[in-house]
Amino acid sequence: MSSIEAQNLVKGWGRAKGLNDVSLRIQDGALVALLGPSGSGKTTLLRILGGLDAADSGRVIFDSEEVTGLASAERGVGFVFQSYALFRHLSVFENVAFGLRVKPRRERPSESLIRSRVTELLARIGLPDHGERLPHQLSGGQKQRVALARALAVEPRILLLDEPFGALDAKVRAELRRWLRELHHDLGLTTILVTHDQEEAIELADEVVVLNHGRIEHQGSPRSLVDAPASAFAREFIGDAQVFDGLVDGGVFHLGKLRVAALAHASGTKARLVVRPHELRVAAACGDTANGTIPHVAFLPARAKVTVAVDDGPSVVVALARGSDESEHFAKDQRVAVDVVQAFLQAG
Amino acid sequence: MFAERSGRSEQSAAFPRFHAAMSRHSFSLCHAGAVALLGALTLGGCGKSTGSPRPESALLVAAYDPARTLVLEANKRFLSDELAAGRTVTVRESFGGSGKQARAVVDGLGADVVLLGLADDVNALADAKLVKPDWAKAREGKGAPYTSTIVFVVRAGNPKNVRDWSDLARSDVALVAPNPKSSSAAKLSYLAAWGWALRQPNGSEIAAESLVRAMYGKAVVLDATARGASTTFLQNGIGDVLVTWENEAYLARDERARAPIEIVTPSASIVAEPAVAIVDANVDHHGTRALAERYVALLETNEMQEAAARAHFRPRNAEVLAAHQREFAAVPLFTVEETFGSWSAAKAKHFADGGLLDRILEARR
Amino acid sequence: MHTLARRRPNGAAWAIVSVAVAIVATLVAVPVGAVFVYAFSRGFDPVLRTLARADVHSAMGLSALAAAVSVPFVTVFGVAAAWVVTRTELPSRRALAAILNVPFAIPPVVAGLLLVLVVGPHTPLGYWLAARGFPVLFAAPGIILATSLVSLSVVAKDLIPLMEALGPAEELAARSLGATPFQAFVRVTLPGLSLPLLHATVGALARALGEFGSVSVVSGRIRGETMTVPLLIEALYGEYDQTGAFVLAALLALVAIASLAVKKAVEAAVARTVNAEEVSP
Repeated sequence: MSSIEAQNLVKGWGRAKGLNDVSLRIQDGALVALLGPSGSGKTTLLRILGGLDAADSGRVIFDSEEVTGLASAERGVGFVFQSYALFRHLSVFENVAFGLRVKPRRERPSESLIRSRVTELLARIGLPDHGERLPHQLSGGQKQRVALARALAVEPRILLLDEPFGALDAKVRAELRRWLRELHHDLGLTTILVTHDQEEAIELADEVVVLNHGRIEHQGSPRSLVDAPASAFAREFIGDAQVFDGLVDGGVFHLGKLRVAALAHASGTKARLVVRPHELRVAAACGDTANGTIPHVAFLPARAKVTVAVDDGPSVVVALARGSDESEHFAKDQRVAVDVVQAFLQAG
Repeated sequence: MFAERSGRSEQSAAFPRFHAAMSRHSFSLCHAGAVALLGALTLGGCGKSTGSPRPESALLVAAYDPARTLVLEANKRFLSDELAAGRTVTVRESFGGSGKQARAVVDGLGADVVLLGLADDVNALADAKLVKPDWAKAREGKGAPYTSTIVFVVRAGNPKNVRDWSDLARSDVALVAPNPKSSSAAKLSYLAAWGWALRQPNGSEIAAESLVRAMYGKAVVLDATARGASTTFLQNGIGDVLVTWENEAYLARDERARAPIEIVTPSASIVAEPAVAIVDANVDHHGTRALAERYVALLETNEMQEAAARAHFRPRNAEVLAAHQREFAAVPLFTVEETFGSWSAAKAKHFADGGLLDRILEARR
Repeated sequence: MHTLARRRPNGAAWAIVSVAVAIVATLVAVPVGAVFVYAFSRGFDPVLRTLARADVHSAMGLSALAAAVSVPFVTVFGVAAAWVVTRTELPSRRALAAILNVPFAIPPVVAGLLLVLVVGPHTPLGYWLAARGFPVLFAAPGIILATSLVSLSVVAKDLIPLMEALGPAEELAARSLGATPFQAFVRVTLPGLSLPLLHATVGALARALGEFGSVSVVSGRIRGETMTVPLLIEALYGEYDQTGAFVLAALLALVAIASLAVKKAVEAAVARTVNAEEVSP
């Protein structure tokens, strides 16, 4: 259990997957998600924090102790890799025991201690009878849990997970997310996980750090990210945001026949509209009131996603809660009226 | 049969020594472990060596392929002669194409005595300062204890009716020959064809050139060595006619009872004078000069002249030759010197880089 | 899916398969079969006599020695080279990867001639060694060197694509768990490569035993001393000892077939674990 602090980390300035002056502070016992598109530097940051990679400049501090020059094992970091990285030739038991067995002789626990510790971990990950299996005999979810147990065996201060659920199907992912949340609750271990899945980050983490082009764009609670993104990038990255560029004319932003009030903007200026699907409204209409046609409707368990081709403008996606009569009756080629309930309009 | 027997007894004499070396290797290798290569590099030297000083009793003979049976018989006699004189010796032998053997000795093969197809191959050793430059004079022009010539081998019944050199130029005759660039037999075959053409009525350089052009321009296979050409013709069954040493031809006839062949002797051919020489640099290094001298002397004895005749070489010794005369076709023979002035003159004109042969082979492409 | 895959072959498919079988039969099966037929064409006695010959024993011994030294050497070299190329960021690793192609690209004869140029008795190194009683050329060391040189990259070239595909994740995981680089290599990298290594080593062995071109240059062809099995085969064939040549050829063919079988078995074993990996949910 430790707090983590990164100061002015730079790695491969300006290059893809690089870091351009990143500073970060993470509280003891937090579960933090590093979120960003691929190439944003999130995995690089994780590896530098974990000591698997060295920064060109900057410092890493755990508690108040500088660990910049230390290897990952010396930092007391447990690492879980995206591809599991289990040792293919070793049994599940030996995989978990590995970190204990490679300890220098005087620090190495006795064989019986290793046995009891591994057995306990296997029980904790719900695989008490799988010790003799080889990795290729496990399912993806089981492998990921073994990888976690292996990382936990050396009793790290900090747990780092790189896209831990990336290779799993949706159902197993949800299950493992819940399980990880519980594990974090039980152990109280400071945990950082890298993901490109915003839903995962928002659901799982106490705190989300959004990275883009090697810079931090937002750091805060999941709720702050959704409700008050700290930057244009964070705003556009989160919540299936739809982004449209257009012109303001007489206090109105024109998106074809779709109009948005823009009182704060001067006439003739460019502006950018950021709107999420649930921030639009759609209603059946005919004649002059209609300003779009539906090319496609998708009915999901809780919502309907209605795509509307705005007359003389782009297509927008509108999300509706299922259940109302209207939402159930939208159909392809229907004429509708679409308008914006709430949106963010920024000067271009 | 004879060759095989003598070969085996010969090798068994050399074998125990080698075996001892082998077991020493494997023992040491166990200890050498991972640094095996370096280990073997040094270990290799402890058992057998070709370049380092050896006891006076070991002789290495490097010979051209066709002399194999003769050399094996000579070695057998030599061993028993030495034993009779109270000396225990070993003789090892290496066989290959004449030019290749000369090259190997130049590159460091520690042969004490060489028996090569052409005097010129020994000259290459002299150029490398391994043999005294006046080696031929020192041996009073004796060269090898026998001569040979160049003849044709054809399929049984001579279906293509090959009779003389001019037939080799015919477009319907598939010729198999060694490549004169690399083979001593082939150089002689080439010069024999040339010399024959000069000796024909109205013979001229132009006629000679068109004959060798036709021969080497269209030969179906040009092997690197005479033995290679024999193998191509006899074992692989390619071609209508093989041009080769007379002794190679007779040996092939002996070996090929099942798929009979015929030997055709042309109306005139060239004298092939293989050369025997002591490699001065090596015998001095090994301390084997006396042994080598005795070995070479043995080759000139009447017994070995008889053995040469049995191996289908024409013995130098007039008496022995007379006794075997009917085994060798009576054919007018001319020498390189009387036809081309000298070996070096023939070489410069025909076989040097950019010489006539190169131009002929170039035209094949 | 299955119906598609199991569709009954039509005329064209039959024709293609027949041509393929005919080509394989003519180019591979018939000649290999012929080697065995010729070897036993005069019964067992000549075979036994050939196998009892002292020069045959010595050739087998020398071939075995050359393989026994060169195979471990090229294996150690191959693992090291593959590791440097796939697991390090050394600037020279691309150059090394390119150089590894050289032993494949140069003809074996040229490799032999290179040895003459480098360790021949007329070179400073060769002279120095020979003067100390360790001649290289025309002796066992030269033959071992030639064999090692031509098969130098066999193991590395076998391992590199595989290690590239596996990636460094397992080694990184080991390091993050506190393993030293040496522990990571010995406990993770090497055991993970055991089957591929067997595959590569068998390939190197086959190559070493069959090597002709380079050895022929540096051998000196001394009977009972510097003749390897392939060289002796050629010599026996040239000496009209067809049976002897084919008996030894059959022996080499047997070794080649056995090594092929081992390689195939290893490939099947590897495929089994990979398949199991894919099948599991």
